[in-house]
Amino acid sequence: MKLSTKSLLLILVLFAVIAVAVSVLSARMLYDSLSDEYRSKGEAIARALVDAGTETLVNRDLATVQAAVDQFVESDGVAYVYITDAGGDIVSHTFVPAVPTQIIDLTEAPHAMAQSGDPEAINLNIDGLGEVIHIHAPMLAGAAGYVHVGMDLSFIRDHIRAVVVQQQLLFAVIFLLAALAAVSFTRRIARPISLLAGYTRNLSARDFSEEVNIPPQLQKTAEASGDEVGQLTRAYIEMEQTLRRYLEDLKRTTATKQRIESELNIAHDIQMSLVPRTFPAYPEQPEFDLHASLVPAREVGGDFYDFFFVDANRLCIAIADVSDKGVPASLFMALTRTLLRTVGRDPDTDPAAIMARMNEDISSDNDSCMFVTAFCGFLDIRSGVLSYCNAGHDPPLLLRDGEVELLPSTAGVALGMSEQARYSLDEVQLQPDDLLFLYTDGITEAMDPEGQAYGRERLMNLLRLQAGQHACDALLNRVVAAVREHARDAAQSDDMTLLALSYQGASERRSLLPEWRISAADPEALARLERYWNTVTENGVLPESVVFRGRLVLEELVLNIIKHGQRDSGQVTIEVRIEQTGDGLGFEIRDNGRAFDPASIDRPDTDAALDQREPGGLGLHLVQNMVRQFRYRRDDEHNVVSFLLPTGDDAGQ
Amino acid sequence: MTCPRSLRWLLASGLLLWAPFSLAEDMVLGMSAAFSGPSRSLGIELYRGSKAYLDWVNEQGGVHGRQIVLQAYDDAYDPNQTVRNTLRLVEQDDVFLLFNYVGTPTVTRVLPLIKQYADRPMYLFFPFTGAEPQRRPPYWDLVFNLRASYHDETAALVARFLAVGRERIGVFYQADAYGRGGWEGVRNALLRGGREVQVEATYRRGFDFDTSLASQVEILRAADPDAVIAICAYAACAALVRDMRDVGWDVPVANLSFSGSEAVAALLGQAGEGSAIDYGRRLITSQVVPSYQNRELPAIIEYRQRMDALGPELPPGAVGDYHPQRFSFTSLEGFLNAKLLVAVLQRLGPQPERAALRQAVEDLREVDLGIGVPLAFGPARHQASEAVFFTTLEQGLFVPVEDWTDFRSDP
Repeated sequence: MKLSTKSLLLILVLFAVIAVAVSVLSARMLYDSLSDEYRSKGEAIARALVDAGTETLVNRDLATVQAAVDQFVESDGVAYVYITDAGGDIVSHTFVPAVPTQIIDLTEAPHAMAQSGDPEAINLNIDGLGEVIHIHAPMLAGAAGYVHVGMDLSFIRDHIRAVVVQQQLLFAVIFLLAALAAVSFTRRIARPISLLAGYTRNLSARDFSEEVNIPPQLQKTAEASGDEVGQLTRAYIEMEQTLRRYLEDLKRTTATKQRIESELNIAHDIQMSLVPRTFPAYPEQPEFDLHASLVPAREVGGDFYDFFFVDANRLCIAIADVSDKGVPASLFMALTRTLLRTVGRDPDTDPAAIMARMNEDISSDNDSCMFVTAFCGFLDIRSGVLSYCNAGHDPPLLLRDGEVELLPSTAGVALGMSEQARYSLDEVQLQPDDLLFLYTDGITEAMDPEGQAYGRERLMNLLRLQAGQHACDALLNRVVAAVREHARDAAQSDDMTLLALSYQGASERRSLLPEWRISAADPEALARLERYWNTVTENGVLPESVVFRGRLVLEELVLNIIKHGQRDSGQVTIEVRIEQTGDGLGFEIRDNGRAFDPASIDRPDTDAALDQREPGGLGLHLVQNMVRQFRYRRDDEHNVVSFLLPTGDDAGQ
Repeated sequence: MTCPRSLRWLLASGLLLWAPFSLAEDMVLGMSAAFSGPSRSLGIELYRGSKAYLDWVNEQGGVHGRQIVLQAYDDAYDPNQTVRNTLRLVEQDDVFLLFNYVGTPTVTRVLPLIKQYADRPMYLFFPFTGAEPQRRPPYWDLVFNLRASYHDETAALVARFLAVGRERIGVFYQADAYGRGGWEGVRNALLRGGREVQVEATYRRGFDFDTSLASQVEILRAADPDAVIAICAYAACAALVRDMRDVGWDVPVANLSFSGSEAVAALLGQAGEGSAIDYGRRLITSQVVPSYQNRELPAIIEYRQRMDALGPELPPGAVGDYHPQRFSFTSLEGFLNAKLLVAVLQRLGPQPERAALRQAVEDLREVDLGIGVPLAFGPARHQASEAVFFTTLEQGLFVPVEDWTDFRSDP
């Protein structure tokens, strides 16, 4: 309902109430005063007739009485006049066409009329005349009769009706004026408001990037009007401007946030690509089962795990936790992981050395004062010996025979805390079915909504219950689920990183590739070698390039032994053993020929003319570049050359 | 007034020229009566009857050389107008006496005023009403009546009805002093025989013939009276008879002289045109003068002569659509009034004085106007006649009621 309609209705109701109240009141007052007046008028007439009529009535001159009576009938409001004589007979009256029966009844009834001079009044209802005030006054104390005067109440009613109608008309006129004024006034108030309402309705559909376009009438109201409507309009315009600014800010920050988010997503992907994610890792290695998982608290985190073969038999496993979260931690993590990979590739190193070396590098330029807790261990997959170094990290757990124990600490401080820190090495002998569980504090310090940490106790209990039941991947999933269950709705506050290594014991099947043995004097040696290599690689698992390189290296080295290994006495025998390792194929070539270290061959002079070069030099040089961990030793009158032919990702290098 | 000086001189010289021919001052009589309205025929015919005689007197040289001038004003039967007319007649016109007033309410109202002029004194002669007020104290001494009173008329009617066995008398009357006077007459007459008015009904003065009186007829008939005495003016009388006969109620109806017999007859004649009903039947009218058909009476012969000699002149205020009646009871009464007044004025001598009037009238112990009954005034007798005559309508004509047995009560 519109405001003007409402105020109109309100005024209508008010006026109706006032009009009714005033009319009722004035009708009442008028009735009272008029009936009083009529009564006294009737009484005056009665008195006058008593004065005038008594003598004539006594003289029995009714025509004169009637003339006097008639005079009064002409006055306003006099319904009738009649006179009764001493006998109660009506001797003069003004009724037409006849005396009403009520009047006859009244005169015939034995009535106690006033004997004193004062007239008396009663109300009567008479057929054809309506309601009357009936006044009677005695003549000569009733001895000469009575004068009766009837004052017409319907006359009063008509009069009152006329007055009330006039009043109502007046009210109607005033109402019309008031309504007109009210409607125009409320319209004047309501127009800016409805303009504002229309403007506001459009607000939701408005494109705020467009120019602000306030309707001129609204602008005028805002500027000119000092009342509440003006204030409201001003407030509204201000609000829209604020809204506009806010939306612009929001748009900008949203864009920024989206950019950062997408960058963080990329960073997350990069970080995830930094840790090995292909599981099961080394399925061809029956000695162990290894699984790991990293759940960053944010898009990027400071945790990482890593594992790789240092050489054919030693597996490096590591877990680390940068002392922060988010982007800075992730950068630090990338640095640390790169360091680990770089330092850890050295076959002559050990975990303590790695830690020491990394600590040096991290501490030297640690402007951001970040540090890393880390655990690094080398597992000799043949013997099951785990040599390890713990740099301030939570001690890994060892599940053995249904019991969980902490791996003894090596008392090293976190990397990056002190350049002078020392790191010592410890060893543990793993038995078959032992399980090593590495984790970061994201597991143990995961909070439930009440702020209670998951804790190492719970973790150890869980592992104890799960002992021997699950493979590593299922175990990890179980732990993560348990931690999440504990945290319930609480947000993950730290990265959760886990690594489980189950040791199966040294495998018999490990070097099942056939050995090859031949006399260097055999003219068919190279052909046999070729067939042997074909046998080794015939399963088609190895990439073509690796097969090619392997053949080239084998042929070069065997040919080198045949050429240079001849002795003066005895037969030179060449043995080739090929082992499957995590990173590739481990080769060991033994011969009982003259001592010769292929690594000692100088780098060929590539600038010299081809025909002047020493034969074989170029081949051996090429061989060493094609393989890794190329080593030579003289062992029990034998030359032993070992190397690793990578078959994995870096095989092509 | 911006009357030119020369014109004033001319007027003055004209008066001077006229004066020597006037032997004596005119005798001016003041009259107030209804010349318009429903009762106008009364006033007009009364005026005409008087005028017929006065014109003849004036033709004969007047009374003691004085011309008798009838100064008349219309009061339309309205008592207030009658008072105003009287004031004008006395104060402005300085009339010698008041004459021929018509109606009871009018006369009754004007009596106190006349009393006011008692020191002049101012007398009212022969009002056309049978009402009591001017026949009783305190006004009786200032008024002289010729006609019998309503009480005389009603008493005579009641006596006749009782004589023919009609004892249950209903009264239909005008709701004013006239009606009341007549009603009182009937009531008193009945009371004397130990009876009461059987039933009564009224109507308002100023009644129009076209108005229905059905409700009054119903009221009257409900009480089953065997005669109705109507004290009314002619329109209501005619309407009563019409409405009674229309519902098949044919008890006798009696009118008083005041009703204006010819007018009643005329209205009933109109109503009866094309109707099987004889409205004139069983309609009795009491008269205070003899029938103008009775040419055995010298006064009637004289009256008829004078009326035929009278011009078509109407009193002032009478509108032109009025058709004067050749003869009527009313104009006969006016004629007789004038004749009796002239007899009084004759006795005043050539130098008439108002103060001598009463004595002159009271000294008229026996007068014969030629109507078959003697008239007499006396010191306590200001009504010259008590004679009542009865007429009834036969074929539109008024004939004397010869035999009341015709109206004997139905067995």
